[in-house]
Order: sequence, then C-alpha cells, then structure tokens
Amino acid sequence: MDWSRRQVLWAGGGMGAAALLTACGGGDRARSSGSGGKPRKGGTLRIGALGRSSAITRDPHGTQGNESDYLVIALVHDTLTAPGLKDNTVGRLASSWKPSKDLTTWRFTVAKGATFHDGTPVTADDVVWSLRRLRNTPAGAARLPGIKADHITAEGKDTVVLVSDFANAELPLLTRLSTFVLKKNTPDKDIAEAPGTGPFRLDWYRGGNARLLRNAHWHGGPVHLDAIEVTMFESPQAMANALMSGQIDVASNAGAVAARTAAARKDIQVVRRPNDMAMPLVMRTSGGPFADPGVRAAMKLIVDRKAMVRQVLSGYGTVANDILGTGDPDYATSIPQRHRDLARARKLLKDAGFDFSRTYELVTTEDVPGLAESATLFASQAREAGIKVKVVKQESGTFYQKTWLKGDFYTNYWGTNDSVVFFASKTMTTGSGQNEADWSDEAFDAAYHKVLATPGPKARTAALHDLQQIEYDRSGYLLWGMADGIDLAAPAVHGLPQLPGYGRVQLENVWLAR
Amino acid sequence: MTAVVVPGPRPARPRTRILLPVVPAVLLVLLAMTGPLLAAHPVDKPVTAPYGTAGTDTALGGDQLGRDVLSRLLHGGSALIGSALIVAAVVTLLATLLGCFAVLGPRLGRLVERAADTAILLPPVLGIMLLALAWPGGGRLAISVAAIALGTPYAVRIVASAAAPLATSGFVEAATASGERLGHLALREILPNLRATVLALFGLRFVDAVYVIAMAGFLQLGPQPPEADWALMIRENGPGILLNPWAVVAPGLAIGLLAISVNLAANALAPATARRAALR
Repeated sequence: MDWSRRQVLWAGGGMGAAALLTACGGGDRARSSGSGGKPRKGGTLRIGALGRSSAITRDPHGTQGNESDYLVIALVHDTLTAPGLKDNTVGRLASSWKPSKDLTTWRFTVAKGATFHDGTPVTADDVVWSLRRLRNTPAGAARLPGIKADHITAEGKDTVVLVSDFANAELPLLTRLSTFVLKKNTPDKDIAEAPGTGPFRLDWYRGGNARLLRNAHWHGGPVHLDAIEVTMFESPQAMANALMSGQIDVASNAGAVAARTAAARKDIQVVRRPNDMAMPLVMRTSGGPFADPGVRAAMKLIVDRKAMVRQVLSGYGTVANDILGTGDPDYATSIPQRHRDLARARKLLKDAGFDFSRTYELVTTEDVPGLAESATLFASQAREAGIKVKVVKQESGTFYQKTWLKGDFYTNYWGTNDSVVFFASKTMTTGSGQNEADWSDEAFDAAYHKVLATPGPKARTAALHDLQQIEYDRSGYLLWGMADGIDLAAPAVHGLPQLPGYGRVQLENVWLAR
Repeated sequence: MTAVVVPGPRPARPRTRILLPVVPAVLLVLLAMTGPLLAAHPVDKPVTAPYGTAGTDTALGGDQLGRDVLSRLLHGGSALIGSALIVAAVVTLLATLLGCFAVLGPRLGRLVERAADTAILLPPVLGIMLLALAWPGGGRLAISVAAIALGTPYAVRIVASAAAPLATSGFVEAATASGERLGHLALREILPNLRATVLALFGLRFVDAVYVIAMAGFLQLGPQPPEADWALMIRENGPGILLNPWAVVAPGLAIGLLAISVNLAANALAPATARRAALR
C-alpha cells in the first residue's frame, strides 16, 4: 500500500509526503520492532518502496505520487510537527506551539539547534518562506486550511505566527502533513538538491532510487544508520521477491499475501502496523444513482464487512464503520457497528425508487494489493441483494485522471490513516480540495467548524462525536475495513517504526545488527 | 481430397491414426463446454481462505478471494473456446473469399497484398492494445474484433498463395474462355480445390486465436473480473503463486493443453503439404 501515494500527489494534499517526513518525526519515538539489544551505530539500510517512474517528483511541496519519493523527501526535510505514539501530534522542527485564546493565532517555536545540512541555522524566515510556498501550490488551501499566505509571518528569529480565518484547535495536527521546510529563497531549479533539516542528507538520486547519508548534527537526536539506500519498485510482488532474495533489507507495504508467503520463512520479520490503510468505496453524493442518502445507507448495509476483511485482506485488518480516521484517539466507538442487513437494504432501495434493472459500474485500480479484489467481492455481495455491479479496472493513470473525484462509484485508498478531522478537512467539508464524493452537508460543515473552535478536550470529544455521527449517517464513504500495514524485513533490521499510516517512515531509529 | 493442390504421393493414413490425435481436443472442448454443470461451487463465492491450499472440499484450492479454483476453471473455458472458434471461423471465411478473388483480379490482388503486408508488420499486442484503448468497455467483443482484424491479412496471403497456381490452371482458363463471371470462377472453380488449405488454416487460426485472446486476457484488455477466464485467472492469482500454485498452474495448463490438442487435431485432419503451405 503505497499509502496514499496517489492521493497525495494527485490530491496535492501532500499528505503523503508529509507523512513520510512526519513519520520520521522526532518527538516521541515509535516503538521499535526488534526488541532487545542496544542500538548499534553504522551500516547501510537498503529499503524498497513502491513508485512508478512516470510519477517521479522531487519537490517537497509538489504532489508526490510515489511512496519512494515521499520516503526520500521525508528523510531529508522536516515538517513542523509529526505523528506520535502517545500524543497524536509531537514536535519535529517546531519544538512547541501555543494558540491565542480565540484559537485563531498560533505561534510555533523552531527547535533549538536545528540547522540545515550545510550548517546554517534554521530561522523563522525559512519556515515562513516554505509555508508560503506550500500555501501557493494548487493544493495549498487543502494543506493549510484557513490560512492565507499573507497570514504566515515571522516574529523574531525563532517564532512563526499563523493566523487562521476561523478558530482552529487542530492546526498543529494539520501541520504534520506537508510542511517541509527549505531554506529561504531556494530557486525552483535547485529544489531537488536543496539542503534540508532532516536526519539524513541526500547523497544522490537517480530515477526514483536514492542514497542518503546520516546527518550527524540532526537536532532530533542521534541517528544510527550510516546510510539508507532507497530502491523504487513498481509492484509489491517484485519488492517482496527482492527482499526474499536478499537484495533489500526492508520491503515497505508489501501486503498481506506477501506476508503470508514470507511467513513460511523464519528468516524474515513481518512487521504488522494495525489500522494503517483505509480502503473505502466512494459513492457520488451530488448526482447519479447514489445521490439519495437512502441508497447510500442501503449500500452500507449490503456489504459483508467480515467477509471483506477475511477474503480481501487475508484477515490482516479490522472491520470499519464508515467513519474515516479510525486512528483518532477520539474515534467514536460508541456509534453502533453496521452489520449486513439485506432485508433493510432492500426496503431502503425500494423506498428510494432504486433502479434494479440497471448495471452499475464500480471502477477500481490495482494500485495497492487488495483494492481490485475488494471491488470484485463487493460486486458479488451486491448481486445477492439484487443489484448488478460490474467491476471496471482502470490503469492507475487513467483512474486518477478520469475517475478519482469525478466517478459515481469507485474504490479508493488512504494510506495516511489519520484523525477524523484530517479526513473531514481534506475530503468531506464543502469545497475541500479532495472531496471525493462531492459531498456538501451544512450540518457536517457546522459540526466541523465547531470541532475546530472547541479548545477543551471534553467538549471537543462531544463535538467530534456529532461530526462522526453525521459522517456515519450520510457521507459518500462506504468504509468496510482497515488494512494492516505490513512491512517485511531481514532479521538484522531493528527499530522499524510501528505507527500506522505515514508514521511508519521514522527510519532514524532503525539500526542494523550486523 | 487435395489432389489438385498437392499432386505428390501421399501415404494412406489409417482411420485410427487420424482419429487418435483428434480425441484429446474433442474431449477437452467438450469438458470446457459442459464444465459449468460439473462445477461444485458457485463461481463468485468465497469458499475457502484466499489462496487456500488444496483440500477435500476444494480440489485445487482457492484463488485470490478464496473462490474455488476448480469450479472457476470449469467455468472459464467455454468463453475462451467459443470466442476462439468464432474468430477462427470468421478469419478463415474472410481470408478464403478475399484470397480467391485476389488471385483473379490483379488490381484487387495487389491491394490485398499491400494491405496484408502492412498489417502483418503491426505487432498483434500493439494492435490489440490500440483497439482496447479506442474501445473501452468493449471487453471480449473488442478482443475478438482485434483478433479478426489482425489475423485476416496473414491468412489471406496463405489462401492467395495456395490459389495462385489454380488461377493459371487449365480448367480455370477454360472457364474464363467460356465467359464465366468472376464470382463463378472464384467460388465454383477455385474454392472447391482449396478445401485442404482452408481446413489446415482453420486449425491454425483457432490455435492462434486462443493465444491472442489469452494474451489479451492476461493483459486485462478483454474480460474483466469477476469473470472466470483462464488467462485472467493466471494474471489475478500471480501474487499468491507460492501459497497456492494451482490457482496459476491449472489455468496455464488448461490453455496449453487446449492449444496443443487442437493443433494436434488440425495436424491429423489436414494433409501435411497443405499444412506446410499454411505455416509458411
């Protein structure tokens, strides 16, 4: 599952990239996979990541379609904040942050001792320049919601001030995403080789593959590895084969089938990161056959979630409840789990005047393992309810040009399984940049802004619950399950990140026992 | 029956030596056509774990969604064989007609020859992909049309070269002299003497159509999931080959066996020399 590589890039959400980098997140460290033993210094980690040569990009503020590119960018550049194990959001390049009373003005303090790879210290001006550059990208509005470029300013040497158009208690969380910091006034032509502030610096980059060297002066603490070699693979299968034959040390996001294949071999570690990837079906809400909320509710009742997890993910996943953001600490577990109920579904469809004689196309791609399979299985489950669903497989370039954000009914995936607010702001509020189901719901928008404006944890949890209830009731997402993230690694690799979503690129803690 | 085309000596072949190679092909085709009746499980319902290993319930294990491989195998052959048959029949018919007329009219002959030469140069994979892209959702029909369009030029050349000596033979000249029309010459004088070539051509075209359609299926240009198609099964189940090899090996064997057995049958039915001409 290249996480959201697609999304990211296409969406320009930059989440992907962000993810990576954030993943590398400083603050609190991810648990390491290999227990025992003291970290050893040195060695070169050879890691495989998914990517396509047609989608290569080097701009940290661009749209990264390749997981391999995120990985490289995230290791070289830091974001302001990162996802953490205990706290949802921990510091990375920003050591602390403070809101104004009305939650519209946020002050981020740049970490002490943070320097670029060429030795110059990081100043607030660098951060301001980078954030403005990010904001001025086509997807900028989705990446820094509510913050205009002019409202990003520096205060002194190490304080960055962000002023939001509306109260936003979640701003630090949203800056985990693509807020990669570069040196002020880096010309566009030098972006690819520009020094970053991250735990590794770029040695070379060739056609998707890269070699990175340790940044001994990283502000976030000691880095164990001497170097990391990133190899890009077009298919998870090729990547898993490379691992088994010893050409690489880590295959990231290899999928359940590769994990089961590897299970027969004692010399390969399987790292399972639960709750890693969402694989929803998207139903268009603004028109077409699924515009009626009753029809959408019926579709959500037709799917046999347990069978989907068992057959599509080989059991490497969990059942979900149509609410995106299952990794959120405030995820509403109190909302009852939807189960299969064909009788009720049929009644809802009848009431909505659903056309049973038509054949409905479900468009899918083979971007991540299990995606096309989920469409196929859903089609067969829908047939039991009397709905004819035809699966149409598209090549991924075609899919993102023609179907994503536009289709009536298609599969989708988000590898950056983040908070509820993250998904709400990127994909569900009216007019958001990646509103995949073209959903616009006044009550939902109001609930969203209420969550953002609520500072106290308790009141916030209540507001967030309302938001999730609306999403559960009416949104265009049929989220049947969450896939585990599965990385394969050679036995010598220790300290692999275990956070889901983009939390898993925190490679500065990895060490090699050899 | 081919005395006109091949006046060489031909050893008499005992009936069993002709029938024996035909039997496997007939059996296999029969099995594929009646397969859906024999399947133990529904074709689209998971009955075991994804890539589940072969057990008592599922003789060949499960596929990528845990559906029964054997049942899908039994379901998957008829469409492939059916479309290959249609393609072979249409190509043979078109080629025979065009070839017969081409040798009689020099202008039509040149046109056919040029067009065929150009079409033969186009790699079939490229042609199929072009058509599939231009006709999204065409599925099996698009692939069949592509197979016909790409197979016909080559077949026309074969028929034309087999018919060329006939066009200058005495009985055609006599018929021309007595004022017979072009249609009569092509269909009544030349065509009856091409039976052996046409039969051999049909066998070879069938094998070729199986290959082309299977290849398109493997590239996912033709049938789409959840259809049970042998070529599609090979493609879909590739990632799990180490968990349940049968999910890939069984449809692969089926396609291979079909091609080999039909080729054998065509070999036995068509006279060796006509076959050699068709293979040229």
